[in-house]
Amino acid sequence: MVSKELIAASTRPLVLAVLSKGENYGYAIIQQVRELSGGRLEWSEGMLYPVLHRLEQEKLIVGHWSKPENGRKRKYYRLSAAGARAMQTERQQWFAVHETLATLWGVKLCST
Amino acid sequence: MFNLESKIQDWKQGVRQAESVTLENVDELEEHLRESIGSFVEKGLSEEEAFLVASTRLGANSSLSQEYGKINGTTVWRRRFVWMLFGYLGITALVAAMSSIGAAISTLTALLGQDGLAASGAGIIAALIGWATTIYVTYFLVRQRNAAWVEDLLSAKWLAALVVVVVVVAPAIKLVGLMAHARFVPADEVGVSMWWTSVGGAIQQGCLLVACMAMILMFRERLSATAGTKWC
Repeated sequence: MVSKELIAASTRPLVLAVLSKGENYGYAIIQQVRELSGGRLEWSEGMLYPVLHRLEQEKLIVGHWSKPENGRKRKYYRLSAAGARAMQTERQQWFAVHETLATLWGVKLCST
Repeated sequence: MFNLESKIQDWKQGVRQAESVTLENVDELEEHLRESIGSFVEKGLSEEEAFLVASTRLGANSSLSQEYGKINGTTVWRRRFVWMLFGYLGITALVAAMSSIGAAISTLTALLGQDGLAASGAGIIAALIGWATTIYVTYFLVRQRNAAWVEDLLSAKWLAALVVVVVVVAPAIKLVGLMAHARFVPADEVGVSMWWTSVGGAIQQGCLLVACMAMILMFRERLSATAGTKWC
């Protein structure tokens, strides 16, 4: 299980990364992260939404409500151009941390 | 018998208590909760179990409102401001209603042949009865719903401050104004001056009311993110 602090710090890049694969809504984003992490990243689900709204306020993502035919109404979010740039920055930072730790712990890295 | 719909409504009520959570936020969280419950029911949980797991996973109301507070800070204050404006409008309307009731009763008493003292006395008593009734009805309505904030508002300290302003400060200011008026305006001009003073007062009051309503319209939250969703 990943610690609360690390969860909090990684929510933002995770959300940006999931949305970079295409537009999505809260519940599905959580499911996707849970599956990809093999259950090791367990979010307190309600916490995702304030993060989404923060990103929306920063214009990194764009949200809109839609209600499919005989489906459930949902608020979908997609990455904006600024969001894509922000994700690149996050990516570099996470790799910097990751590479440092990997070197210290003697893990062989494939060249990126 | 477990009633899922009423459980969800209760849950929603709880989330809505938090000032920092907007109606759109509640909508989004509700959709999440429903989808989550649906998926647990598919996996074989009962509705009751599914509700418990889904709402627990969503997180406690207190932590939700705290997190939303970080992004909705201005919303909180805007909402308080709107409440204040509503309060002002409500009180203004009540004052107008009560003084018209008083005036009507007073006129009626005078028409029935009573003297000035009786007429104005009857008017005052009628207005007082009107206020007492309104306050009682409001109190009764508020008591029926659980609203702790009203009790805070009605604490002795605030009530005392209100009484001082209404009973002492406001009439004193008005009295000083009238005395100054009578003292410095020439006698033959008093009528005209009074007329303009009241016209000016009415215009001010009108502008204030219009401004209040305009601000409420501006700051009011949309009742719901999508049409057709109930608001409680």
